[in-house]
Amino acid sequence: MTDSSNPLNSNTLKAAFREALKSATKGSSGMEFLLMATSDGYALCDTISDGSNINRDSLAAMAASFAGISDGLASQSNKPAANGSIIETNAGLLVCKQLKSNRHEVVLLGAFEQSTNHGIALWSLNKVVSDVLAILENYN
Amino acid sequence: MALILGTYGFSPYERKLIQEQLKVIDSKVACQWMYAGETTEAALLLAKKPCHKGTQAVQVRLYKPVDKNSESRQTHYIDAEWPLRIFGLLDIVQQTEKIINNNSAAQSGTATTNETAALIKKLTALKSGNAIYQLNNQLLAALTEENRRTFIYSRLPVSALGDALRKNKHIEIGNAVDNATQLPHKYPLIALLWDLELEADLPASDLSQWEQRRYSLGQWPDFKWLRTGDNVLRLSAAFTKRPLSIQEAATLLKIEPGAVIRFLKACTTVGLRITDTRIRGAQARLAASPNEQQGKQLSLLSSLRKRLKMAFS
Amino acid sequence: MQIQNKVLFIGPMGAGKTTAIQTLSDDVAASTEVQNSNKEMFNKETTTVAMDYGAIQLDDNQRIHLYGIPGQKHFEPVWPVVAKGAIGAILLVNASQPNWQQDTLYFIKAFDMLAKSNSILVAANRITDEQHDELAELLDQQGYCLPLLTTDPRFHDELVLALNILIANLEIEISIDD
Repeated sequence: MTDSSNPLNSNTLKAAFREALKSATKGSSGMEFLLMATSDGYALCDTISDGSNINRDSLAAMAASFAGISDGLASQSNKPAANGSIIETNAGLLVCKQLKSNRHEVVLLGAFEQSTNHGIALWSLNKVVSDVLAILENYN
Repeated sequence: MALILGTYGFSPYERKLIQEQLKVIDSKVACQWMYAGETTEAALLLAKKPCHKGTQAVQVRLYKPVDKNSESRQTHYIDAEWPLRIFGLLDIVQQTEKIINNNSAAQSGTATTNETAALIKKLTALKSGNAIYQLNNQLLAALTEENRRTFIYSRLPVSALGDALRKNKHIEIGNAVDNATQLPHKYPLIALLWDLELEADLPASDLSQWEQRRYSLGQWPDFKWLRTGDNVLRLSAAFTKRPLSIQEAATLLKIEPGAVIRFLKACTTVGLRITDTRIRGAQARLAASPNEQQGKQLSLLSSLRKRLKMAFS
Repeated sequence: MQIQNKVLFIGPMGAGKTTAIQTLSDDVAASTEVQNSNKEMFNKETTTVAMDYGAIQLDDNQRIHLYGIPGQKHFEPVWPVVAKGAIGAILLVNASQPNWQQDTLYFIKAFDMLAKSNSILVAANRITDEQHDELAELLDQQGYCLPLLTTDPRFHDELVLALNILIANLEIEISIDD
């Protein structure tokens, strides 16, 4: 089957995202990693450590699917499109946010340690969201 | 089947009455009956005759074809009470239909079977550039070759052309005319052959010829062109899944063995890959009575099929 | 064991899975479509990212559920999640797409369990007679004995035939003990 390359191929944009994600991960305690993907599932950038066995591409696709399901779920419940959703696991939270600009739709996934509660996780991720939105708004 | 009913010696009022009664019983009879008025040329003729008690009775004369190829007719007589009431007429018409059906069934194993087989053989040999004409030189169909496949152009859709060929004993093969490809219906020759085989009667010798082996189908029929139906789909599914004998397939699908043979003959005629082996082992293991779970599943599938049929109609 | 009543629509992006489910579904089908960021691969505005869902209501309060997978290869990890419990699959392919034949084989292999029980039906659209014959030959060469239809996912009656074939196949599957 035809494989596809990353469609958001602007290196400048990706570099800006990567920097935003890196500084957010460093500055927030309890944040394991961040991953950004297009809303149709292509990995854009992440802060997953090189030695990790996480498959970035699969994770990006799953994050986009999860965001898609969240939107569908919200719509079926007569709610407006979802802004984000949370998965609770025994090993910590996964928080997914949908970000939209005039030109792009992206998904941001944050993985948090077990000790991080919902409030801290959402607060930390929302900070990254504003940074990413600013980049998206300023990007031409 | 359309049949003619006639009367002899009936007054205009009585004729009108018969016509009205025929309309009333229309939904309760199998054939399409048409009233031809006063005539002696009808499949069913109602004739008044004087009765020994001084009243009148109606004599029903039924002309029954003895042999489809000959003009000879056999006549049956039934007596009925006069005045003829609706249920009396219904009874006569139903009896007539029964006699006609029995007659057709008795004949089906002989001339018709051979004729269809000969017709299929004749059609299989047709090539691009050939055309099929009726007796009055009317073009029925023309053949062309496109992408290694022989196509038919015709004024008739495939099932109607099959019917026309089966009924018409005087078809001739000639050359296609130039504008034959402008005819409205186009389908491959195999679609016509498939239809003819599925409708053909089977001689008794076919049953014994097919019943000693197990068959499996290496390809699904091409339903882009070939007529489907519940039996055709399930037979295709069965024979593509595993080798089955005629009897096993008939038991599995709860159909007549003849229908299974017709299907396999149709598959052979259209060139599908069939492999056969001599029956050695025990009968294929069929789920004799489905367990509760299987029963529920089958019931669900049956509901879905009904629902799809409704939506489709 | 639960009654299996889930039919899957599989195939690459742009093959018509979402359309097919919308065509067959009694109610408005639910979908998870988002902006397509990769128009080089297929020039359409939106693409499915998680699944499509529709249903056919049966007479006796039972439903047949129709699920569509996201067609792009990077969603492959999602496929088994959507496919779980499916009784059969309709593999839609668009013969006007490049590599459509390889894509067909790719999906048959990806849904190997269904292919092994002949519970996949290939429904090709925008296909010429010649391409149809080529595909039949290819499937045959690869040892797959699967029904092949020409199906426009916008047309209800063509999809109904596809579903009828799957039903026939499943009935036989249940009735023969292997």
